[in-house]
Amino acid sequence: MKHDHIRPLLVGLFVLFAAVLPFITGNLYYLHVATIIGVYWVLIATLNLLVGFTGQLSVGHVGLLAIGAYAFCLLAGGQGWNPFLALLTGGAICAVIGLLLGLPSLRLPGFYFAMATLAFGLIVSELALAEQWLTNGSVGMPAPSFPAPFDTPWGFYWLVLGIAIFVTWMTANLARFMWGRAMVALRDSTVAASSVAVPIYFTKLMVFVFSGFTAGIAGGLYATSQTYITPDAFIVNLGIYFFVAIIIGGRGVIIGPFIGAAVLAAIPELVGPLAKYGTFFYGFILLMVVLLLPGGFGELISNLALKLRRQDQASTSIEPDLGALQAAIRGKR
Amino acid sequence: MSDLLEARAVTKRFGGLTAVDNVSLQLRPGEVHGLIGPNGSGKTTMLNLISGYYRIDEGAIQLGGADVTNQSVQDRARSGVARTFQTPKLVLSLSVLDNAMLGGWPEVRSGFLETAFAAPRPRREEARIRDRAATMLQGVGLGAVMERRADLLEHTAQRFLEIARSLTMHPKFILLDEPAGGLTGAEIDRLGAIIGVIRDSGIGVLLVEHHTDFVFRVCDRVTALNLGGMIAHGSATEVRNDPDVIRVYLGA
Repeated sequence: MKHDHIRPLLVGLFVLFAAVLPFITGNLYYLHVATIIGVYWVLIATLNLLVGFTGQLSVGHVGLLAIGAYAFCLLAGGQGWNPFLALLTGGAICAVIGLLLGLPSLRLPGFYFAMATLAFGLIVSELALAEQWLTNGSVGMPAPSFPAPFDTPWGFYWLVLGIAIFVTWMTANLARFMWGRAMVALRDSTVAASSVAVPIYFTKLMVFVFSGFTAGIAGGLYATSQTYITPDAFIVNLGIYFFVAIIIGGRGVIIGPFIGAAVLAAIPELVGPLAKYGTFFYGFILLMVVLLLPGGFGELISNLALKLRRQDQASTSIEPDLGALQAAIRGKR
Repeated sequence: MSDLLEARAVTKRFGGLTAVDNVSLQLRPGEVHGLIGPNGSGKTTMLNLISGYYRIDEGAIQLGGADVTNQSVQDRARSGVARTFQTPKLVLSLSVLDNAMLGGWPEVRSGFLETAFAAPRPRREEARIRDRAATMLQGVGLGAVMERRADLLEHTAQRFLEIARSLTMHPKFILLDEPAGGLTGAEIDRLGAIIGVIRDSGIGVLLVEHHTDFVFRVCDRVTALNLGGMIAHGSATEVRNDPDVIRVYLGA
């Protein structure tokens, strides 16, 4: 999982660009779209660990997003909590719900797990509509904003950017150390993973709880970015879009789904007059990616990077170094 | 006698078929134990019972004097039982080095959050496991292809990679399921040399294999199975000259 020095440079340039974006564009609308991309990314980055790395196909994360959003609005708005405390509490609630949902469902084989998460998304969506005492039903509720200096559009943008960078950093750490190998191993071969003592169920559960936490955080940020939330905002389609963002981006690549997140946020906003065709474009792109680029954009990019580096694919004869082997085996503490 | 990996009167049935019938064997540290027999005689089933992939119906598995009959595959791996597979089971989308590093899992103590925050401990573990996996790969002869994706490896190299991954676990015992399958004569010689080094380092080896010449050359003791039952066990020479073994397996 080691790469050259080009990657840190690209990441640095991108972060710099993202940080100065409010100065580049005076257009508040574009800034809003960029903020939404960041909010989605907070959820999608860790959903990618679950779907892309660990191979657990959750299509119900919109339920966690909704719970995070309502928790934030109720606590920071109705109860008058500090918004940051409310945001973290929303994340914690979603982590606990992720645990409760994961405990039974992560034992299910792939397809049935996907169905369980879909059911969860549907249930949350229905409850948001039906439980009027808590959620105001279809009337919805206003979302509080964050205190200064995060109460302006660019201030809030920077807050979201900071959180997104932090979440990306954590995700990248999980992916590059031993836990990341364990995730990919249990996705590709549970037999191989168990032979080296990877705790399969526990690993899935940890990833699910972590992705639940950031989905809750994303929910709070999403509420603020919309200023007002109703159950309509959390229809199951959105959960499927998150999933699709990862397919478009390419599974198992940290940054890949960012492209998917950007497309997801940008299409309904930027297509403007064609807004009612937003879903159509999204479906169309998905179809194109699945047919032409099964590995998503992430794999396209990593394949290009691989081609640029010199790759010696010639077969080499295997010449054991028995002395070194003996020293290595006996080198145990 | 507490450093053995032992199967005691083990029986395994699949429906009405008794795949392994009352078989006992003892793996000792620093010894290569061969398990031979015709197709369907229960060799691989036996290996799956010892490593924990199948539950046994009767009998017991003991490791270092402790009963591990009801332990999971993972528990046994942590206690020092490593294995390879008849068809190599690798994580094909990862590099050769990453695959070998997976063998470091039993010693990972870093928690999930610790890793998310890139605390010192996961960094230390990463460096240590990377070093050891790389040395093992050098040792088995895959040093030149460490950065290559595992799915681009040839069959033989995949087999040797599984051995390197197992050795990275610092196992007490290593179970090899037909490691010579599909290898050329020269490659089998290298495999034999590697197994010799593993044995001389004090690791106990179980070798399930069809290449009987190879088995009798590298094994200290051999058990022969037929139709799930034990027909002979003893030193390589004894088993090679056993009339039953010659009749059902070796041929006249």
